[in-house]
Amino acid sequence: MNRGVKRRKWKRSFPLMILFLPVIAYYVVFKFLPMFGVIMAFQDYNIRKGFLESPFVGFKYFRLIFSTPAILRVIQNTLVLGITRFLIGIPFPILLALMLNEIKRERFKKLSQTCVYLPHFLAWTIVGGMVINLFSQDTGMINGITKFFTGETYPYLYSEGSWLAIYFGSGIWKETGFSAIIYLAALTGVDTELYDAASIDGASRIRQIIHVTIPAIMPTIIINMILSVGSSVNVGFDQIYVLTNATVNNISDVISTYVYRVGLEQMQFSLTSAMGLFQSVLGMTLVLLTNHLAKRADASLW
Amino acid sequence: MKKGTTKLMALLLTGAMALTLAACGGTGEGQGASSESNAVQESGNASTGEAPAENPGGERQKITVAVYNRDNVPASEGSIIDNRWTRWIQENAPVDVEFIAIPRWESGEKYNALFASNTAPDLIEEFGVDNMNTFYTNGLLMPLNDVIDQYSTTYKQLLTDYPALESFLTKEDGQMYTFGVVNKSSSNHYLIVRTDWLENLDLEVPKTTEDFVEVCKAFTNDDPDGNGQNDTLALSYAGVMNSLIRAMYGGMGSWMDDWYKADPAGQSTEIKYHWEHAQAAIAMMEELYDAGCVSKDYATDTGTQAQQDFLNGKLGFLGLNGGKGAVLNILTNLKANNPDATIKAIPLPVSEFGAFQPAGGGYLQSNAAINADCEHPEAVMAYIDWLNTPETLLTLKYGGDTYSQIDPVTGAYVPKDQDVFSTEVAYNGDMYMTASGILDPYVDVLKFDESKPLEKTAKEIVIEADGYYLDPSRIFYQLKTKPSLPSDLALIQANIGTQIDDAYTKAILDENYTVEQAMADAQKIFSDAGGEKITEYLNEWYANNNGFIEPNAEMLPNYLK
Repeated sequence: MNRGVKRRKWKRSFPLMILFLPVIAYYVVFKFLPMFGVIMAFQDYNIRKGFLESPFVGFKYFRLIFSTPAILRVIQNTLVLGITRFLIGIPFPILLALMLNEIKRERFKKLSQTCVYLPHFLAWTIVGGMVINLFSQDTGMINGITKFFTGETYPYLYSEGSWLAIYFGSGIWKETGFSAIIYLAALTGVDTELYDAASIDGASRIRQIIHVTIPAIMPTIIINMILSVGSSVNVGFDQIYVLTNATVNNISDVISTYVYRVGLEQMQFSLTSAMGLFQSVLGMTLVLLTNHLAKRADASLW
Repeated sequence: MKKGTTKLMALLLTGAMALTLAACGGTGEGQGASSESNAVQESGNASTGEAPAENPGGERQKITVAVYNRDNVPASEGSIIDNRWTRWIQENAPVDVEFIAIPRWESGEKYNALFASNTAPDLIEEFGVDNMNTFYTNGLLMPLNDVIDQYSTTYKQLLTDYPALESFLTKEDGQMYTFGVVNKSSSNHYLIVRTDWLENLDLEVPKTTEDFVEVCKAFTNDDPDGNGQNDTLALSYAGVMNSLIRAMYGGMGSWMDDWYKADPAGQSTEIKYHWEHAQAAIAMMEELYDAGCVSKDYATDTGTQAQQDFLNGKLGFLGLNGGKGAVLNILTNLKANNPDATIKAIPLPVSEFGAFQPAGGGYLQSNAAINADCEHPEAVMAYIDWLNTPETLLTLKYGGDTYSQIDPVTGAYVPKDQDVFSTEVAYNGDMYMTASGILDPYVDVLKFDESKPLEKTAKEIVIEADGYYLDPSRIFYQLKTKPSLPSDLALIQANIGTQIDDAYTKAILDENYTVEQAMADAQKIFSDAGGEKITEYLNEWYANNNGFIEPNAEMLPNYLK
């Protein structure tokens, strides 16, 4: 009898299993197998000899990383840019979600929601081109306005402070709308009776947001933070690559652009794997740390 | 579950293989349109011995050959690895050739991926000297001396006829690892100026770098186009112009190349980083930038914007590469925007370090190699030998008599129908990149149609430019052997290179950062990162290798013969 149930269950779920197979294959082939490549970081990897025959050199490349000023600078840039972007990036999606939530006219809400998350679907090459056109010194619109007021143009793209503002700003502009979706979803789950009760007690709209809405979506905020803190040390390649130029390279050269330039173009596979591994370990540590802190607030991920 | 995965993979692989096989099947069919085209008659100039590659008979060996993909094959012709010329090669070459496409502008990355997956072609074709050096340092290339001795015919003859080629290609261990070609010297980088602007302002062609600065200022401030508006600039540093300005001060290519250069006046053979050259160049670039003569956004431009600004009549100078064809292109587009505009190429202004030449089309070039894992090097050798025959070269380059004929007036071998030629032949240039240009008896004859005024003007500009840019009394630096740095030194170079570049650019753009500060910082970066190790290595290498070729006034006329 029991066997019959089992078999029936198996038979019923068999098509689902088949559907599931490609996903497993994807994870095995593209996520788990490549992890063995980490071994390169401890070898003098030679492309002809492969993993099996390349000689092991222990921590040679890690020592090289920490004794080369140029590489340390790249790691430092990655941490500074990544963590700053992560911290600056937290409040904007929440604010946007709250603002959208307060819009009472349904059609306007839908429309503005669509408009703000549209930039997410543009590639960085396009956004980068737009940003550079906007801020360029000869023909840029922003510099047109600057010139009208001050009589002179300003090298926004070529001085470090303004470049950082452009870098963070364009990132926020592109991704905020999309990140707000998850908060909007959390907001729809808030019990409306709480608002009713609050307004009977005489709470204003602002008070309602502070005392009802924010506590209600707090778990979502924390989970989101834990999830994204890991990737904060992983500064994406495309945005930097399209926005950077020689004058700001000393603050904008990050691990991903360095790996592209030195690892792929010069075959320094062991060195760049070591850098990648170091980056991942850092990311992992940050995730564990944040989770630990969140545990105290009773909102940890695991 | 595990078994299921295996099965699925097997299924997927089978599917993929079926597709591949189908694709291969396609290549055999279709008639190579020019397979019947005969070789053109000899004109006596081809000095290599006539030794047409022999078909070994019986079964032909199969090799894989790289070919650049520049996305320039018309849809009607198929793809870069399957078109009338690949079919022609398959029918006529002594070996069975399968082409592997290499994206032109990501060739380093593509080759690395192919090597890593053990699927790199038997014959590697690559212009990038640094990429080739990287392959060599990683042991990916086969030593060629034995292969050439045992199997080669026409290519061996080429090495005998041009001994410079062999010493140019020989590496530290006495072996050649790459195949090279011998070309006629030709101009490539041009410094183009708006001559009508010079005339409007009553100015001479700038002879020295000081003149150049003056002309740039006049182009910016004195309304050279006479439209009453302050809307012109002298130049942009993006693209080729950067190399040209550095060349004026005796540097070539990237800033790091200052390193490889011995004393430009030929007094000393010591290799070192020539800080004073870089400093002079940067100082001039900063002066022009601060005087408002330069496009402000050059640092975010790869050269496209600069060219566009020149065509729109905004800039007075343009750095141009691509030689003859590019001149006609620029002239046509400029005239379309402004019929009164006139241009010409001028020699590089003379600096305090001497009179230098811009980069030219190399006389000697190393651009192919055999994969160390290749199983039939003799088959690859036979293919290289076959490529290095005038018959093969003329058929691939001109389409043979099917597409081209000899012009009775100029003696040039010209397309019968330019449009048909452009569509059906012009895309195959990379297939014969390892055939020596000197095997082509028509290479000297400029292919301009003088009955068209624009082409006539372009021809005049090019002839004048060749006169300047191939003048042996000026110093050439483009012909030199570059040793491959061991990977730890290559890493130092990569790290230093970008940082020094950045400091220089910052000195030009940033008002608060002076040239002196940039030079001090650059030298500190250099010594902190161990730049002296590279200097030592290079000096030792050049001391132990007589193969180092540095062109000078005596050698040049021989190149031009």
